[in-house]
Amino acid sequence: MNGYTDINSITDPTDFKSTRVPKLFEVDSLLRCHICKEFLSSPMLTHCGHTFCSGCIRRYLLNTPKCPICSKELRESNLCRNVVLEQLVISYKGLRKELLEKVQIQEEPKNVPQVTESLVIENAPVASTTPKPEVIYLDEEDSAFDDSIDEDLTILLESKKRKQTVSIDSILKRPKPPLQRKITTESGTCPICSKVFPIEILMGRHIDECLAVPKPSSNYASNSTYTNSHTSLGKAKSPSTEDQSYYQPKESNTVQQKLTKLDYSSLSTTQLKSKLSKLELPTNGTRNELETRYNEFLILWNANCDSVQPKNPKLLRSQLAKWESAIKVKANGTEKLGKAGWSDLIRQARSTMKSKD
Amino acid sequence: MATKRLMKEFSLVQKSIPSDSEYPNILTLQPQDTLFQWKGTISGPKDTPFEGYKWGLIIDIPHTYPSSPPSVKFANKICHPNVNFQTGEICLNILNQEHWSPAWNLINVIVAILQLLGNPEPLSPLNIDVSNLLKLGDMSAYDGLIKYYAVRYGLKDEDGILD
Repeated sequence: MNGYTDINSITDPTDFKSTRVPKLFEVDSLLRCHICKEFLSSPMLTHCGHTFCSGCIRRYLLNTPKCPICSKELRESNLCRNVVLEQLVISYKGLRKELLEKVQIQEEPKNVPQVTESLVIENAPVASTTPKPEVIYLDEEDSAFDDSIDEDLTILLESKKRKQTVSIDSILKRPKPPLQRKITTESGTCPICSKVFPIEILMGRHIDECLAVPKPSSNYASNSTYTNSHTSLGKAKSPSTEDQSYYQPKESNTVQQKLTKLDYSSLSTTQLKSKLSKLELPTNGTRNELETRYNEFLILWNANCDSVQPKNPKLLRSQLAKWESAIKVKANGTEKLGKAGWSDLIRQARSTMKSKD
Repeated sequence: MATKRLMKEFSLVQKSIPSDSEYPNILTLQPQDTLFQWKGTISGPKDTPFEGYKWGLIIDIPHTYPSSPPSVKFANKICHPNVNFQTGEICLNILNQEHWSPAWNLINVIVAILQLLGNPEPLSPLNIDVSNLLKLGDMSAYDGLIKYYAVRYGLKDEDGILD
């Protein structure tokens, strides 16, 4: 089994089983797709409450119109995007390597499987280090506060994406919290204005404020940016400013239209070829190959439309080409794959893995 | 898609077989020349007439996996109501496209086969003779026949494990 030398690059939830927090096994497996066993990419929620990668479930539904978990009838039109989960997965993927290192039992030689995800934060500070407040955004007054206030300011400032719009006055009015107050990342929803706040701010003064003013224009959460970056509180301590960008789905310039399935029985080969060339796809091969090509591209394309970080269509086309050549290798070489062919397959798998990230 | 998923399964199998006590009856499970052909060895589950004997499994995986189920058959002869005595073909609903779910993996399939050994279904037989014994409730004959063939065709320790 020479070809498997890099098997360690494959991650799975059992990586956590022998750590100090084996329960993380559950977290890791819950964020994975039941079909491909990878981290969910563009997760889609079914009407029966199950979640799969957009591409995986679409590919499966092409032949079998039912849920893979509960066997209830399921159509592509029943699928619904799950954006929060997608963001959670992206965030977790970025943290995973660091997390695994932290919970590893020390006696063991550090044999941490390489995480292939490119999102890993490098040299991120240890979670326990006290965050240095970003004082540059404040005037000298900041030195008058104790640490806890500073932290809050930092958080609030970050949450505002460091815009000068933060009303410092409103923070100053805030009563000093009890001394042994912990930094908590818990948040709650205000029952009046239904915006999300850290629980302390909510209980400390926001509700009063909210009740007093009929239409509160809150200083803490005037837009969703706050809640978004609040989820990243753990990472807010990391120096990487790019992290923030995960949480704000970039509006793609071109609104991508989903492709529709074709009724192949009522379509001549020429018509099919023109459909393919419209999508800038190759038109060579047998009729069967044309249909498979369209089907696979349909899946790749529609799954890409579901993603919060859609890829360039060119990338999808090269992905399709790789997929097709992989299928051909399998069709031609199932009897006996030599060592060369075998390592070729692995190379292909790796390159698709990399391009996916 | 299939290759990637099978790499993942191979990685998982390497970690959990045979060390994981959760699967005491799966002795080996590994791919052959390609990731699309696997072989495995199982031992008969406790408290069944198969206990103490070993069988090999041949697993062929379609390139549409996991959308389509793998095909699994016994490598050596086994006497069981739901296994074809000549070909080793297994009558198990999850191995049909209709009942298969892509959420399952190869370990799940083998666990299901081990379950089948202890819980035969005489109403959909592939081996009519032994399933008739079961239907009639002649357990001593049923157990005896299974043991006879197990002694005769089961993998011996000196054969080593199938690889």
